Amino acid sequence: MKLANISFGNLKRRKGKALLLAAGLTIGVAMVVAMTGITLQMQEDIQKKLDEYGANIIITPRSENLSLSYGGVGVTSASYDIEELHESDAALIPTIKNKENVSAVAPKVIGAHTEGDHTFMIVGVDFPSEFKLKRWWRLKDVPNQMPGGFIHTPTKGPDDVVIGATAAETLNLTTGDTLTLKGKTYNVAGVLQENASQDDYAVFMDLKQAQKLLGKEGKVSMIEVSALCSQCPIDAIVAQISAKLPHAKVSAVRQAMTLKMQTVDQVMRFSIAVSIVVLLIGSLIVFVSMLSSVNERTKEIGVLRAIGFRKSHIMRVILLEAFVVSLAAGIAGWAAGSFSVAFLAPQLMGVKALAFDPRTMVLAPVLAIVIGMSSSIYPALKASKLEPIEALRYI
Amino acid sequence: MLVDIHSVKKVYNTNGTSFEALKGVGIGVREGDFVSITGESGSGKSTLLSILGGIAPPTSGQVLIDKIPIYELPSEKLADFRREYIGFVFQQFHLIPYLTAVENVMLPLCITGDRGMKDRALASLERVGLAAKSSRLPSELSGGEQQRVAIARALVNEPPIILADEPTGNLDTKTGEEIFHLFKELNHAGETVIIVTHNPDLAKRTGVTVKMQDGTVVHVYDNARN
Repeated sequence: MKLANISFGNLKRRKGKALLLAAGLTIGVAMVVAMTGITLQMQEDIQKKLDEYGANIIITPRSENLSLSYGGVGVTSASYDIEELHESDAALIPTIKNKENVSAVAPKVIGAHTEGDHTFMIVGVDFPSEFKLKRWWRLKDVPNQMPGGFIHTPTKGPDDVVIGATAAETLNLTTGDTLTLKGKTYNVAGVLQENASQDDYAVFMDLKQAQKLLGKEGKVSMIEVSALCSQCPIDAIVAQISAKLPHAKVSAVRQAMTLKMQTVDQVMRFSIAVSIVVLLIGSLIVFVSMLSSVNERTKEIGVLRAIGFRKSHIMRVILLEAFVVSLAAGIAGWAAGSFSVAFLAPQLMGVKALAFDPRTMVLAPVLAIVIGMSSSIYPALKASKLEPIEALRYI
Repeated sequence: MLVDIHSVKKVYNTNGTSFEALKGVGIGVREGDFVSITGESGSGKSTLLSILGGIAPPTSGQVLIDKIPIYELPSEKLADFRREYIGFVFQQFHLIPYLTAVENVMLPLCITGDRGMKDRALASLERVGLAAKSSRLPSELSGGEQQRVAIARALVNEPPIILADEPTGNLDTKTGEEIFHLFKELNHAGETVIIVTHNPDLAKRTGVTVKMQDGTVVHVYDNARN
């Protein structure tokens, strides 16, 4: 017979009390596990979405003395003697080591075109890639456009164009009209809503058509890339692309990265704050339950002290009970938290989450034990300090 | 003297009022004595016994057991003293309800982790005539049987002093008589026994009776002479 027999005997006898104690801690641990699972996934989700939202890497020809007008590429009516990028350069980007991190590659050829009295910007794009990149684009006169996602590609063929808001006003064009450029007729498949950028002034057309129109066959003026950077730093991807395109200037868009990091950081802080609150509440429940449990056993503790148990023996008995209950609560809490993340979170929050993370499987019981035992120290100390005779008279 | 106390006072303070349970008590008990402490309710006899048992510190005074000033020991050493020197039998038995009879008796031994503890516990139960019910829970035993288990627990560590607080108080006359007889046997076997009782007939059958009243010793009777 050991001190452990006293601990286990008491737990067996007071099953209801032990379960109540365990329940409080289980709920606390479950909430932390669920919060952690959902938040980690949310972070990854947010990172990915922000990475995909617009370009975070810009590839331009290596050159000097360019005035900025379209993302760093000079556009005037005279042509510069710059070594432009080749269309084939865009094809090299998905061959880098971290190719899974490349979400969209959007090459563009840019030039000025004068038709009659009007001079406007022609931007030749690969429409599917461009729409994937420019998620904030919205079409005028099209209902039910989801925020943050693609719009339905309005262009059907190489003769379709999409016009920026200001350009459309200037040219007096709406969806369904035609636009004649250098004798060729193009269909206005859509007009973009205003978004206070250079896109408002541009006529977007199929890359090959634009190359022909601008006399830049096979060439591109810049390539915008959106790279997913949660697993690998953007500088590594920039370096890899630079290695494939030594003649180009490859730059990371720092603004986008900083915004992303700040957003992700905020989500993390929120999660930590909530977790701390939840754990404090869990601690409090354990503390109160243990205190109550020890109070009920004052007489019993008095007997043990009277027959020669040291304070340290009493502490061991009570802390062993706390350990067993906390371990059970930690395991149950991990299971409950993981299941709710796996099955409930997708239903309730539309978030797909990573459940059954092996790290939480170890951390949850450890956390429960730390909280359970530290919350039990004061009640245990209190019990062991009573003079035996006072404890025996305790009603 | 095995037990030697001087000028022991005990004051209880509750809700701002103080009550003097013992007002300067001194007694001496030799090894092998069979002592009874008697008196009306509130005379201080249980308080005195608790002080002798190392479970209630006096407000002032000296308490020497086997020449050890027990209340000058650090509290963990005092606990060790209780385990080794004292076998305390409580009026309400105070058995642990979720442990069997033999497990209750083993309690003082499980601290030291004695290997032969089960055998020693069974031997102790045998001494009180309850070896056959060793695996019963206290709720499955009668009042007299529970008291015997409590006595067995008090004896298992072979302490030199047995203290019993109203050991027959909760029992019928016949059972009470059996229990008292057990104490007499233990005393004959060499144990020093001090019992508190309000029963004057039982008191007369001990070696020495200490009569208490209002927190002081009013008389000491040598029953062998009378």
